[in-house]
Amino acid sequence: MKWCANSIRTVLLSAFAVLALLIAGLAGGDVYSEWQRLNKITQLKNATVISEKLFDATEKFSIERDIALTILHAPETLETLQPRLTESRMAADAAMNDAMGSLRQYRFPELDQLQQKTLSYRTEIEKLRQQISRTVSDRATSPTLEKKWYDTVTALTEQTEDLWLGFAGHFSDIDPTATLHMRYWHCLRIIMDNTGHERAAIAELISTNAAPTPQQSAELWHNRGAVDLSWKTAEILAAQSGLFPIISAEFSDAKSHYETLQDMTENIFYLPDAHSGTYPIGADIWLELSSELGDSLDDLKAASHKEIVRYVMNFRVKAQQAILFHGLILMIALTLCIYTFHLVTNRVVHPINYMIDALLSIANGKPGAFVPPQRRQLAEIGNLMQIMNALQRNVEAALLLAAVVESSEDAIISKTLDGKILSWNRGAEHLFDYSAAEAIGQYINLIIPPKYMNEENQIIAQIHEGKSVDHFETVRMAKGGRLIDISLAVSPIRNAAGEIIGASKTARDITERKQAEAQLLRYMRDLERSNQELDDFAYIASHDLKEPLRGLFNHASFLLEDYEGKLDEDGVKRLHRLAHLSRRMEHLVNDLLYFSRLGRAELAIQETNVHQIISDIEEMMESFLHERNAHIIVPKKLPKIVCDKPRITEVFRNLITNAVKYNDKPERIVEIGFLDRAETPQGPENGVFYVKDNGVGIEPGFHQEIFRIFKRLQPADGSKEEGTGVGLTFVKKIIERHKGRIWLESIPGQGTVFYFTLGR
Amino acid sequence: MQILIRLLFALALLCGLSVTAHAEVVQLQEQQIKAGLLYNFLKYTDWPAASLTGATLNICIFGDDPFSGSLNPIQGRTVNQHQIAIRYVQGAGEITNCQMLFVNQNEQSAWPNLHRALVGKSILTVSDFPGFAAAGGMIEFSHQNDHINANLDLDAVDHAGLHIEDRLLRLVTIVHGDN
Repeated sequence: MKWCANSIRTVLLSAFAVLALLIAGLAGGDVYSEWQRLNKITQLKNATVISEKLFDATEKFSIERDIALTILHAPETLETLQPRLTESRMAADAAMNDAMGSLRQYRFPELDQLQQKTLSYRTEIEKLRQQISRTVSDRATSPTLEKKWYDTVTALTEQTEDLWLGFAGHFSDIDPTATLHMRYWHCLRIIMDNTGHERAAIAELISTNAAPTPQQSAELWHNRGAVDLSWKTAEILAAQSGLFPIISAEFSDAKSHYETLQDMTENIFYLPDAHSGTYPIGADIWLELSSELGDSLDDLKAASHKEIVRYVMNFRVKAQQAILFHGLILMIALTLCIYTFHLVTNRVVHPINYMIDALLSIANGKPGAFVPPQRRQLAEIGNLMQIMNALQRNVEAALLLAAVVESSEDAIISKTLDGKILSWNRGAEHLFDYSAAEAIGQYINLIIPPKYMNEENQIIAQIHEGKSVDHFETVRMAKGGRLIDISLAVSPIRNAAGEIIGASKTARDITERKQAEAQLLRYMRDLERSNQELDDFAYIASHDLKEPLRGLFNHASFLLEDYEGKLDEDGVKRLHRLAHLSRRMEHLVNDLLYFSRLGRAELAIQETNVHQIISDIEEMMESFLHERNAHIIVPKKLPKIVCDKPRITEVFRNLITNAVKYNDKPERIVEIGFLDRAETPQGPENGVFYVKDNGVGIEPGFHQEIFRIFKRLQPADGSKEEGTGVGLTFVKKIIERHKGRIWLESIPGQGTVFYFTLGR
Repeated sequence: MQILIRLLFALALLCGLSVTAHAEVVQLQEQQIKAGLLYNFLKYTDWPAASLTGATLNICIFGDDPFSGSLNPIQGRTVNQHQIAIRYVQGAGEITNCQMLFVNQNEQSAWPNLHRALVGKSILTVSDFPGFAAAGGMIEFSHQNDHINANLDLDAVDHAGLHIEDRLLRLVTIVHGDN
């Protein structure tokens, strides 16, 4: 059975493992995507920095280009511009090296090629720089060199722009705002590049002091158009990305600066006709003014960059927070998972296992309890355990009942209402010789002799009415047709709904009892006959004895009358003695005759008022009582009973006489009463009369003796009144004829209580 | 659209300009260059905080407008995060809120009085009459090799409690005034 418990746990474990994996998968997926996002954001941040660097590098190169061009055009400006040229070369190189160095960490496939190309332009530029230095130191001009220089630097800046685009393209899908920022950044580059071109073009015009060719003019206008458009686009993009409110001051400054410079140059350099011999501005001033515009643009760039970096950093923090949050959720979910598993194992699986163990134990007949000591369970499990405990008690009770039934010596059989046998206990097996296997499923007429079938039908009719059939004696048939006397009781079996679904029969073998009863009957008859014979004998004997006794007495009397004088004193005395003894003998014979009559005569049963009997006796014995200072007390009115009134009167009279006679107290008290119920040494009795005196009492050794015929005790008052000693014998006989019983309690010296019952 | 208008304007100029107009064109060009320079002067000058009380940076023109409206577009633009306003002042009493004072060369005679009124005020003074810098002005537009040139008297600037950044010094020739 252990595998079962294990399997629940295994299933649970698997379910929770799957759940945990699912949660881990989902949250882990989130964490992973956030982590990737974070990675990209980090790259984006770096990319922003690199953009800035590339941007810076192209800007620096375009400044160098313009200054170099100016000097190439007008060698006389060498002195003024030489420091700026050197400065711009260094700045350009530094910025480009920095940008390239930063870019080296990225391994985008197309970047290598673009970087190679950029490098080749830089090599080219390095050569051209030397050529320029040689040319200008000779104060010579070289249009070819100028063109080559212009084209190469422009190509480098364009190449750098391509490089940037190729690089930035990898970051355009991270975040819409970041993408807007990139586009905005690109607009700024266009503005700067084009202002750079414009600066170069104008510087060239100034240095050559020539009116712009239509081509130059168109290029200028083109630049200008591109810049105007870029300003507008930049503003829109900045507004869309939420950047504008933060950089609006720098934006406005840069734009104002640009427009002011634009206003300044428009009427001078953009129109071929505007040239009137000499431009009113020198190249150095122009380059300075232009470079100062660069300052404003740089400020804007710096502010924008700062904000973009801040945004990215913020974005990064958010991504980190998201990772943390998802991680936390994951941890909580997993903890919950583990905790729930633990809970279910502890509160469900363990209790179930416990119950299974208990069930196993009980099934194997060993003691088991369903409610474990001091373990916390879920309410349902607890209830289940309580219910199973209750069930166990019921089962135990049922088992006990079954055991009682099974082990009963009586045959206990249950059957359906149509007579099919449902159960058959060992008693039934013994009684009817059929085994349970043989009997169950058979019909009950298996054991009913054909001539008793009618009786069975009557029983079934009673059962149908819901009535029980009390033990009655009948005959059933054992295997092989042997008839058995049985005592049978049948009672209906009801289901839980109270419907009668069958009957249970309890049969007891009464063959032995029947035999014993028959034997007893024989004994009783013998005894009765013997008693009758004895009574008859006593009667006949006493009756027949009376005649010779009378003769004896008469003859003694005659002798005394006729021969008293002739006899001596001794002879007379002896004759007197003879008369006395024969008289006494007659008394005895009369008593015996009376006693035998008591046994023989029918009782004259009638309703009798016992209270009245006592009053009559009191009245009759008045002088007797008075002489002896005796009083009869009746504390409670005595009942009316059904009895032979004269005989019961005799009983009371005898008892009262004895109570007075055997009494040495100055005042002799006789109490007569009736108890509804009394405890006796032989068990409780109902309807008990008693006669209580304060006389001499009777020693325990005489308690039986006194009831024997002709047995007398010495009267306490020492009176010479002699009785024959038959009073209590008669009393006992009368009471027994009434199917009653007499007994006594006595304390010698204090008094005696006679109790008796009258059975009828 | 703006470009187109400008192109048309340019074409109109191409077709319609006469020789007599030439001098005016040169004049306009110069005024526009000066206007551009004024913007840059504003950019690289630091005023003491006490004199930047208003929201705007005020360029005050003393006397008639010598820029024939070339300065007007600057109005409303910003520099160092201040909006630029153009004011026209006629008397010394009106200069209190000015950050820059441009003195029309026709008002040369008024300068000494004006100069006295400027004492203790942090106002960048600019003019194009010869000898302005020498007469206590700070920046004087002049010509050098047919090119517009600006002379700057650092002492005057210092006296006014102003600070000029190095960038501005690259645009000007440093001179020393009388005072």
